[in-house]
Amino acid sequence: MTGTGTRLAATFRTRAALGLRPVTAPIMVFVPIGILLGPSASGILPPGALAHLDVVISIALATLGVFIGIAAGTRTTVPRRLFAAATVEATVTILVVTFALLVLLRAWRVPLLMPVGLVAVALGICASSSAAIAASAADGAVRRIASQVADLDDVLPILAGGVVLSLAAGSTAAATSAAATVLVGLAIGGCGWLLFERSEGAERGVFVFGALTLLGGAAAYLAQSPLLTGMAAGWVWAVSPGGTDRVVTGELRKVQHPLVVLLLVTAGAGLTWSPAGLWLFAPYVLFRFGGKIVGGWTASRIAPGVAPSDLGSYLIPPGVIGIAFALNLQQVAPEAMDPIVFAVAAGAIACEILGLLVVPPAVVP
Amino acid sequence: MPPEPRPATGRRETRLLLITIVLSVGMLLLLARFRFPAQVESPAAPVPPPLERLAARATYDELASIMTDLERRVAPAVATIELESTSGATAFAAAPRVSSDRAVVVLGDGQRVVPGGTESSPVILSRDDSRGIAIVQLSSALTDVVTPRTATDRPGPRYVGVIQATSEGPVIRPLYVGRTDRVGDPRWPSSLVALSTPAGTVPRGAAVFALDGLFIGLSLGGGDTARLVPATLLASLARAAPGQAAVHTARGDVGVRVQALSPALSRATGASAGVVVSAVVPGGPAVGSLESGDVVQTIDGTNITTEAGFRQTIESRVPGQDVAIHAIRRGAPIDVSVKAVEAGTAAQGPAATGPGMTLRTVAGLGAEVIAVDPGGPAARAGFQQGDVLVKLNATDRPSAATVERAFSRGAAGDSWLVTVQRGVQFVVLALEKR
Repeated sequence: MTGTGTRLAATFRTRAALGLRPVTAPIMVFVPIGILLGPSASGILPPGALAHLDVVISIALATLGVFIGIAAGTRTTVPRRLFAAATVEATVTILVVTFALLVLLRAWRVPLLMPVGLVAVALGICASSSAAIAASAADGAVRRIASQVADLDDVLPILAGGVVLSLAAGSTAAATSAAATVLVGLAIGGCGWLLFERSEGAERGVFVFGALTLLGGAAAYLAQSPLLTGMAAGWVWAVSPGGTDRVVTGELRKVQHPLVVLLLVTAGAGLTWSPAGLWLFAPYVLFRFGGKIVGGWTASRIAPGVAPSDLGSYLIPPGVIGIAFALNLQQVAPEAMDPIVFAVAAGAIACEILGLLVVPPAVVP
Repeated sequence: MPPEPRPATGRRETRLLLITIVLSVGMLLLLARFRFPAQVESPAAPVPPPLERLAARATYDELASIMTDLERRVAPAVATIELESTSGATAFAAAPRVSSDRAVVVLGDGQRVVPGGTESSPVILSRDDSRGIAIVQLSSALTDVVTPRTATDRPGPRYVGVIQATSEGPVIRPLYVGRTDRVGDPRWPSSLVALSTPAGTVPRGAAVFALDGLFIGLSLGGGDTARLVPATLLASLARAAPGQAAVHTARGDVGVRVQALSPALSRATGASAGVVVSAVVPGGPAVGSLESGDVVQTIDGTNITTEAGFRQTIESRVPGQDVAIHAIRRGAPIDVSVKAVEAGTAAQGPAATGPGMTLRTVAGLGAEVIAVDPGGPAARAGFQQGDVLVKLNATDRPSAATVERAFSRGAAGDSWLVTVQRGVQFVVLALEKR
């Protein structure tokens, strides 16, 4: 098979989200399946069923947040400058995409139901997350660093996303609302820690899933970000004494794959085609690419050991978090956020393909 | 182990970065030259209201156009009324005209309507200070009226028009409204609308309109979350207002003190909801109708669940008005009617013969004050809860019955010197009977 053929074949064997071993990329499989099942295609998933899935989506978002919180908490042994590099990379990507979309949306006059600034920032945040490339001890230093940066660059978008979500929900004190959301997550995390440490077996499983339900439900009730509550709770579980993070991770392994699949299928099924979404799609992909290259270059100055262009290339494949955040926005303002969900979901597929074309040869499995 | 990527030189990396930046900026400039195609409306399709259509493209020029159109449509139906406060300061209030001769206006404490604004001789037909709302009869020749929004869905998130009054007439401005909720208030028979907006953008008294010109409601103010009285409710209040001026500025009272219903009280009284009557003011209008331990559940059909709800509902009643109270007494339901009196006068009724405080005998010490009725003789004398009466004139360590008996037998104008132990101090007070 030629080099091009090898790369095309690898399209279906790319990196996986949430620490899965490299298998078929979930975004490229389940989002199209969702589109086929959704109301705009076969109609097997009618709008009523999608509305009922809202509550499960909130719990799934909280679960993703818990994973990221645990990852951020247990990465304390990683040099701080690696975390700083990931944060800088995410910031640069957010700024590049937000600035470009602000300019374009003002010039294009795309009809949107949300303020232009809010839409641009939301797309910037969705664009900043990257897929974690599962790296093992056998992998090279470059891949390990890229994997850690990709893991850690979700923390800042989730924090900023909490504020943007509050603004989209109409809260006037968005920073305060986001802080309250974090406090809710910390409180539930604290309660969970006390429960998990003093239970075992099936009872502990019930407590873990109860805590997840509470994290998702409380955030949904407050019209805030379940990702943020989940991340705060996950961080508590990672840094608290004992083996709570291992307990939670073990329990969540049972549901992480179904929840990711559900999230992506729902995102696909809920896609509503619109000219506005299509106009957002192209600059989203283009400037996310540019943002990741510039962000990777900047991050490599803080975390040396990897060529700047290589680090940027590693970070091009998008994570599930971007789609998750877009879905979260859609829960708060359904009609207004439809174009954003379309742009982010379609953009994620495009970025996966783009990542295969520019990814360093060492990464292709 | 996969091979490490070859190390790149700094010059190559910098060149690559510059190329990326230049290409990105170039693409940005190129893309910015395009324009989103205008929506072509099919003549056969139902055309949405122009304001709704424009609301989706809220650029500055379009919003200005929307507001101009909205002002042309609704401003003639909103009168500007001049208000004067007790300190002499003047202000202007928007008064949406809900019928050809009646408008609704939000009034603050002590504010009164004076000729000014667009109205030369406004007359208040009814006024409710506890709710802060007045129905005003207008005399101007303008006959445009607002159309209340009857839809039950919540108005948001979207743009709305906010009308405020100035000395030059009503002015309108756009406002983006995020989350909206229905909130209950015991003073109102139906729920209010709470708008999440930046603080101060919907000030008290502002009128809020949808972009299609329908009247959403009048603002009662309230920080980050402005509360609106729905237009339909205002219209029904205006219809129910008397034909002639019937102003009442006093708050109502029925001479009853209440406390929250705890789970233990709920089990003991047999009532699942309501507030517990903790005291009935002697001489007040509720004497003989309600007694301590009753659980008040509804007032004029409005459910009462909190002490604040009870107080606000009673205060909204006009002095002299009969108040229908449904309560639970020792597990059995009772319905009583109590005539409201002006707040502050309940304890000073003609039948008030006691000292105006609740006492209990403390053996070997005297009488301890359990509660002091506001406005009663004891309150005027300066008695406080927790005081212990250790001497009444020449009587040492008087019992509660001794104090009450002496006071009831005394004539108007009599007074007693009472020595009171307050904490570690002793105080002498003069208890007078008027």
